[in-house]
Amino acid sequence: MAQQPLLKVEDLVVEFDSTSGPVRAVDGVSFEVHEEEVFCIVGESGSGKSVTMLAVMGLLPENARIAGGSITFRGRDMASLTVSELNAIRGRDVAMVFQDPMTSLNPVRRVGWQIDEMLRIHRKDLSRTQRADRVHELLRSVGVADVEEKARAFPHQWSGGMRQRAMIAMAMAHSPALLVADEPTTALDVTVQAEIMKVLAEVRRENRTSMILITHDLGLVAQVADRIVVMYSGRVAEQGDVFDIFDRPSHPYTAGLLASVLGESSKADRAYAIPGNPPSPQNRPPGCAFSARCALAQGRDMCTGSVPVPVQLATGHSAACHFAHEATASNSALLAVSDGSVR
Amino acid sequence: MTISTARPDEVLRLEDVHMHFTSRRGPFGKPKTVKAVDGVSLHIDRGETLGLVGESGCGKSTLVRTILGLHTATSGRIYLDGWDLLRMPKPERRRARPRMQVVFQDPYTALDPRMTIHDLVAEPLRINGRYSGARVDELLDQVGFTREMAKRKPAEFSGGQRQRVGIARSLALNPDLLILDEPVSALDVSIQAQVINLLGDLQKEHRLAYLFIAHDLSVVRHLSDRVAVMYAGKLVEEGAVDDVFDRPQHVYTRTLLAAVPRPDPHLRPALT
Repeated sequence: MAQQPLLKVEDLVVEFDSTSGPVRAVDGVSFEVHEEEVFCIVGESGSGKSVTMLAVMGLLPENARIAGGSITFRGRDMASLTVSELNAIRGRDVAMVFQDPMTSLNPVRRVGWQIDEMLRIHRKDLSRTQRADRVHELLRSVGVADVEEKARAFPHQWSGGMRQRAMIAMAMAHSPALLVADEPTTALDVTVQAEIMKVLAEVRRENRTSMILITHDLGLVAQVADRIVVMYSGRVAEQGDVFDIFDRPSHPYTAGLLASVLGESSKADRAYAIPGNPPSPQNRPPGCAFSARCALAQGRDMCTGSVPVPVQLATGHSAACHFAHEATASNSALLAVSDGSVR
Repeated sequence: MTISTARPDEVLRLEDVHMHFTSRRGPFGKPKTVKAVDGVSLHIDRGETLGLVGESGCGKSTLVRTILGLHTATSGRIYLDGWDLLRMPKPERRRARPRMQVVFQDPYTALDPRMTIHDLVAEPLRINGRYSGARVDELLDQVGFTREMAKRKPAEFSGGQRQRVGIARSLALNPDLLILDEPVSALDVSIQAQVINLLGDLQKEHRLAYLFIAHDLSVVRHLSDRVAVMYAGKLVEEGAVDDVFDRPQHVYTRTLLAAVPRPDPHLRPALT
C-alpha cells in the first residue's frame, strides 16, 4: 500500500495532570491506518489504548492534553484544526462506537430521533421526510426489522445488542472513512457479539470504511484484524499483520499474552500466567516497562537502562525490545518461568 | 429437619428448584409471572467444579441468589451438606450458611475502601466470633499477601490482587462450597491466569466444591469438571466438560460454542 495512510499517529504523547505532576498515559505511540483495513489496538486496562483514540478524536478530558507528536488524518494535522473544522470531520469522516450502548444513548429521546440528530447536524440539505427515509434505511442496514415502529421506541425498550446496532447505525450515517470501535462487544453476550461483528463487517464493506477496533479479546482480534498494534504501559510493544503477531510474536509481552489464552485447555493443565502486575503510568520503571516481568530481561542492564526502540523484523512487523532478534529465534525463551502461582 | 439421602461427598444438591416472580401492571392489570428459574436440578461433589453458563437474563444470577437464600424459592429443594435449607428452622439455617461463600465479579466494588486488607479478611471471622490474627495471616499467605501488605488498603492493589483478597475472605470460615460469580471477567488477560491457577490450587488443598459462573467459555472449560448450560430458566444440557464442549447435544449449546471467536487467525470463517 504505497498511498497516503488514512490516519497517521506519530510519536504521540498524552499527559494527565495529577497532584504529583503530569502523568504520561501515552508515551510515544506511532502507527498508521490504511484505507479499508481493520486495525486492532490490543492492550490491557491502563495500557493507553483508549486514551490514544480519545486523543485522535479530540475527546480527551479536561485534565489531559497532547504533550507531543502529531495526528494526521488524510494529510491534515488534527491538532491544528479549529473546533468547527474538527466537528466537520468528527461524525462525518470519522465516527466512533463506544463500549456501553446503555450509557451512550439518551434515555429520554426516541432511538430514531437520536439517529436523525446525525443528519440534522451534518446534512442540512435534507428535508424531514428524506431524513426519516435515511434513518429507516440505516436501521435496516444494521439488521433491524420493523424499522418504522422501532425508530419510535425509546432505548430502554431495546436490548443491549439492539442498542449497539443503533449506535452503529448512527456512526455509519455519513459513510465515514474511519470507524473507531472501542470494545464494542465487551458488554454483550457471545452470541450477540457474533451478530454485532457480522453487522460491522457488512456496513464496513458496503461503505468501504476502515475500522480501528480497540479490544483485549485476542479471539476477536484473530478473527477480524488485518493489522495489530500491541500496547503495554502507554507504549507500543509490537506491531505487525495478524499472522506476524499470532505466528511469530517477537515481543516477550505479546508472547506471554498469547500463551495465557486458555483456548481448549482443561483442568489438568496449568494456565500460563505472566508473572507480576502491569505498572501504573505513575510508576513506570526506567528502561523497558515490561522488564520486571520479562524472561529475556533478567539481569540485563540494557533492559532497565534504556527504553527500547522498535526493531524492524519484517516489512511492517516491529517489536520494541532490545532482544527482539533473540526472541524470534525461540518462542519458549520468551515466556518467563512461572507456573502462575502466587505463593 | 430433613436430611437428603445424598452420598457423603455431595456438597450441594438442587431438586426441581423454581423461582417465579409475579408482578402486576397497574391496579387492575393481570398478574404476570416470570419464571426466572424454572425447575433446575443439579448437584456438586466435594473437590468438584460445576461450570454454569448461559447468556444474560437466562436466570443464572437468580439461581445463585436463590441458593444463597437471598430469594425464597417458589418450590423445590436445596440441600447443603445434606441439610434441607428451605425447610430448616431459621437459627439452624444461620449456622449452615457459612458453609457456602461467594466470590464476586468486581473486586473494585466488593471491598470496603476504608478497611485494611487485614480487617477485610478478619471481618467474617469477627462476625462469627472466631477472630485470630494468626488465622488471618494464614489466609492471606494462601493468596500471596505478606503481613506488611495486609496493613494497606484496597486502593493500593491491582484488580488481580484485590480479587485474591476476596478469595481469602470467602475462605475464612472454612466453607465447603464456593460460588464463583464471574471471578475473573473483570481482570486483565495476563492476570486472569494467576487467579485461575490460585482457584485450582485452593480447590485441591481444601477439597472445595465450586459453582463457577462465567460467560467466558474457555475459562469455564479450563476450570470445570462438569458444565451445565442454562437457557430461559432451564438447564438445557449438562455433562462432563469435554462431552459438552466437543459433542454438544442441545442446539443452544451449539450456537453458544460456535459464537466464540477462536484465537487463531488461520481458523477464520470464510467471508460471505
